[in-house]
Amino acid sequence: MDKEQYQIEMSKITKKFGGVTALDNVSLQVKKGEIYALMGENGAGKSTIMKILAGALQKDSGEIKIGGKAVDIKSPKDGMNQGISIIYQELMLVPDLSVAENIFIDTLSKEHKLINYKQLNGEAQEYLDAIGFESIRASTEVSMLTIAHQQIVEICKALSRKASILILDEPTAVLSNQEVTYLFQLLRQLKRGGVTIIYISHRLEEVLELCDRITIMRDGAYIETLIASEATKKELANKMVGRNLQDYYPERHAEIGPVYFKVEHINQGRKVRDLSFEVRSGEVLGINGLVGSGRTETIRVIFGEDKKDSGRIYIDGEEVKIRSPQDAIKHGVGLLPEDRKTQGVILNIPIRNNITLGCMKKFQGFMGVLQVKKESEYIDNMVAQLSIKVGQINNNVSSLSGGNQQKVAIAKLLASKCKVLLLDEPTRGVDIGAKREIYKIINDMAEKGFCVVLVSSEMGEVIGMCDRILIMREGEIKGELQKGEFSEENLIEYVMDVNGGKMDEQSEDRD
Amino acid sequence: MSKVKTETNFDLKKFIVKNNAIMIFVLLVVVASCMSSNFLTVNNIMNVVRQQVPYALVAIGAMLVMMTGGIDLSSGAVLGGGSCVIALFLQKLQITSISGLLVGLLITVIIGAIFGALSGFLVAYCKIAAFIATLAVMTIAQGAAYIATNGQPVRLKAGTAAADAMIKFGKGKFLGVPLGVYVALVFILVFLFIVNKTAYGRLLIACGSNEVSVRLSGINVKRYKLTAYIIAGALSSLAGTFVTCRAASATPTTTGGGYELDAIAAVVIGGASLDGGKASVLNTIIGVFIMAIIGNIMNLMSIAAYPQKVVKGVIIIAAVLLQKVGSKSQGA
Repeated sequence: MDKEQYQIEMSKITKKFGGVTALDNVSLQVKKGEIYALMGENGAGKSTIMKILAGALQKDSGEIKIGGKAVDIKSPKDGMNQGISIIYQELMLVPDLSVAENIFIDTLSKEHKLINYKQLNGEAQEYLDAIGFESIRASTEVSMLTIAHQQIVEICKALSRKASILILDEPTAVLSNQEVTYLFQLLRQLKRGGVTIIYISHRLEEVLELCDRITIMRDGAYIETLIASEATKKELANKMVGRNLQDYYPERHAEIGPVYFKVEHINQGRKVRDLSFEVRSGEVLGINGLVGSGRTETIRVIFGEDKKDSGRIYIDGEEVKIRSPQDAIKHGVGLLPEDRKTQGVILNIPIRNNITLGCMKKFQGFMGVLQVKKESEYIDNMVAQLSIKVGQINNNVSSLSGGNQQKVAIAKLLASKCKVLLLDEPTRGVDIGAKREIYKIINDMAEKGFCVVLVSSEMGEVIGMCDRILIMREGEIKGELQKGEFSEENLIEYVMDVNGGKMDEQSEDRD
Repeated sequence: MSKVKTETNFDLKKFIVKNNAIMIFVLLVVVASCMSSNFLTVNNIMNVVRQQVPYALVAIGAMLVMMTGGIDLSSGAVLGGGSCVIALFLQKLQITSISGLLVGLLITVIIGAIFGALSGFLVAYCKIAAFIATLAVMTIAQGAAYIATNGQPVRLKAGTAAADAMIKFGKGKFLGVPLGVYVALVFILVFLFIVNKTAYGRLLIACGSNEVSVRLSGINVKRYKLTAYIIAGALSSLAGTFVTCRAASATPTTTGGGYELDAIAAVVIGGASLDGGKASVLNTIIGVFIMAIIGNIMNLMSIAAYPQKVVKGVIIIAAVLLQKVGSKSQGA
C-alpha cells in the first residue's frame, strides 16, 4: 500500500480530559473512497478521535494530514473547509425549520439577503432525490420527520457542503432494521460517488456487512486494523473487549427470594403503556429496548420523577404512593440516572458532598453542624468498598474518570439505603475495567438481597448480568426471556419489529 | 479579612486566580490611597464601612439566592419597604417603648420574609423565571410602600425611647466603630457558618450546581430554593431598618432604589456564578467593599454623580471579565 493513497492520516493523537487520557498516541489512516469502520466499546475513544478530526475537539498533541498535507483543524468550520462532515448520534438539526432550511443552514444568511424559498426548496429536493429519498419533501418541518429521515437530512446537509469525508457516529442506534438497510444502500451509493465514509459503531454484524476496513480501539488506544472480508465476529468481539467474553461478566451467587417490588398497569401518555412487572429480592431484572422504546421513561415514572397517569406500585406486598423522587427514596426505591454528568453526580462540587448528598442527616450534630470526621469515615469506607479511585475526597467529581464518577453516583445511591435499585445504563461511557467493577457491585447488591432493575441498551450486558430480561418497544413490554432463553438473536426478535433478525441473516449469508 | 490562605506548593497564577476578588480589592485600596490623601483616614474608612452595612446584608441574601441559580431583583424594593414599615410602625402606631421597637423590628423582618416567600414560591413551585418573579414582587413591594406612606417621607420624631434608640443606633459608635458594623459582622459570621459548616449550606450549593441530580437523590429542592428567597427577603427588610436609623426617616421614593443591582454586582465581583452553585460569603463581602471603594474614591475626587455611574459600570465589567479570564485559565 503506497502511503500517498491515504486521504486521511492521523498520527500520534493524544487527548486528555482533566486527568483522564481519552486518546493515547492513536494513529490511523483512511483511504479515499472506502467505508472505514472505527470499532470499540463505549469509552474506547472512537468518538473522541473523530471529533478531533472534525474540529469539534482540540487534540493535545499529534498530527493530522489530509491528502498528504498537514492541516490544522481548530474548529468545526476548519473541518468543513477540509471537506469533513460529521453526523452525531444526537442530530444537529433545528426542529422548527424546514428540511431545506436545515440543509442550507450555514449559507442561508450569507448568500441570500432575501430567501427565495422556491429555489431553496428546489435545490434541497435535488439532493434528496439524488439519494433516492423523494418521499421527504424539502418544505416539511424537520420535527415532523422520523429519526431515520432526519438522519437523511443530515446527510444531505453534509453533501450540500461538498463533503468528501463523511463521519457517522453510531448512526443505526436509533433505526429499525428496514431503515438500516436503506441507510447502508445510501452509504454504498455515496462510496461509489467517491465519498470517504468513516463509520463509528460497536455493532459487529453491521460493520462486517458494510465496511471495507475495520480499526479497533480500546481504552483510548489503537489496537489493530483488519480487512472486513477476512475478519470474524468472534475475533472482533474479543479484540474489542480485550479478553474472552465468557469471563467478562463476574459470577453471582445470589439467593433469589420472594417478590419484593411490583408495579402494575403503569401508564404515562404514549410513552409507557400498561406496564407491569415484579422483581424478587436478590434478582437482577433486565429491561432492554432501543432508544425511544420507553425504557428510561418507565424508570422515571416509577421513581416519581415524571408523573404517571395511572398504575400501582407495591413494596413487600404493600401498595405505596410514589409521587416524587423524595417519596421513592423514602420507600427505599433509588435511581441511578441515565446521564451521569447531568443527573448522576454534581461535577463541580467535591466528591465528599456528592456521596453524602442524600444522607447528610446522619452526620448532623448540634444546630445542623456537619460532623466532618464522622462523615469522612463513612466516605472512606464507601470509597474502599466500591474501590473508587479518588485523589482526595475534597476534590471535585469532575477530576475523576468516567468510571469513577459513575461509582460516586452509585455510592450516593447506596448511601440512601434503598433496597430497590433502578439502574439506568449504569455502564454507559465508562471504560472496560470500571465496567467490570460496576458489575461486581451490582452482584454484591443482589447477593445482599436487593432488587435490581438493570435498564440497558447493550444486549451483552443484559444477557451477561440479568436473571430475567424484559424487552420494551413503543412503550410496552413486548417479551420476557428467562435465563435459559438468553441470546442476541432472541432479544433482537423482540427489540426490532417483525423483520427482526434479518440483518443477522444477511451477515451470516456472507460468511 | 485580608489574610490569605497559602497553599503548600505555591503557584502564583493559581493563587491570583483563586483570590482575584481580594487582589482587586487590594489594588483598589492602593490606587485609592494614591489618588486621595483623605482615603486612608479613620474617618473616611469608618464612613465607608458604615454605609456598607445595609449593602452587606442585602448582598448576603442575594448571594444565597444566586447560589440556588436564581436572582433576586426585589431586594432593593423590600429594603425600601422595610425601611418604611419600621418608621410607620413607630410614628403611626405611636410606639414609644423599646420593647415596642423590638416587636416592630420583628414585624419588619417578617414582612420582608413574606415578600421573599412570595418570590421563592413563584420561582420554586410555580417555575416562573426568577428574573420575572422577583421583578413582579419588586413592583408589588414598591407599590405597597407607596400606599402605606402615601408617597410621603416618614420622619422619626425624636423624644420617645423607641425613636431615640433608633437614631442613636444610626449615629452611635463603640470603640470608634459604628454600631451597625457589629451587627453586620455577626450576620457575616453566622452565614459563613451556615454556608460552610451546615448541611443546609451544602445542599443550597448542591441545588444550584445541579438541581436535577439533587432532586433525583430524593431531596426537596423546592424547599431549599424557597428558604433562600425567604432569608434574602428578611435580610433586605432588616437592612431597611438600618437605613431608617441612619437617616432618621424613611422615604418610599428614594429608599432602596438600586440596592439590588449593587448587591448582585458585588456577589458577581465576588466570583459567584449566575448559573448557581459557586459563591462565597467572604468574597461577596469583598465584592461589597470593591463597589464601595470605587464610589468612595470618586466622591473624594469630587467626580459628579452621573459620570460616577458610568465609571462604576465600566469597573464592574472589568472586574467580572477578570474573573472570567481567571476561571478559564483555571478550568478544563
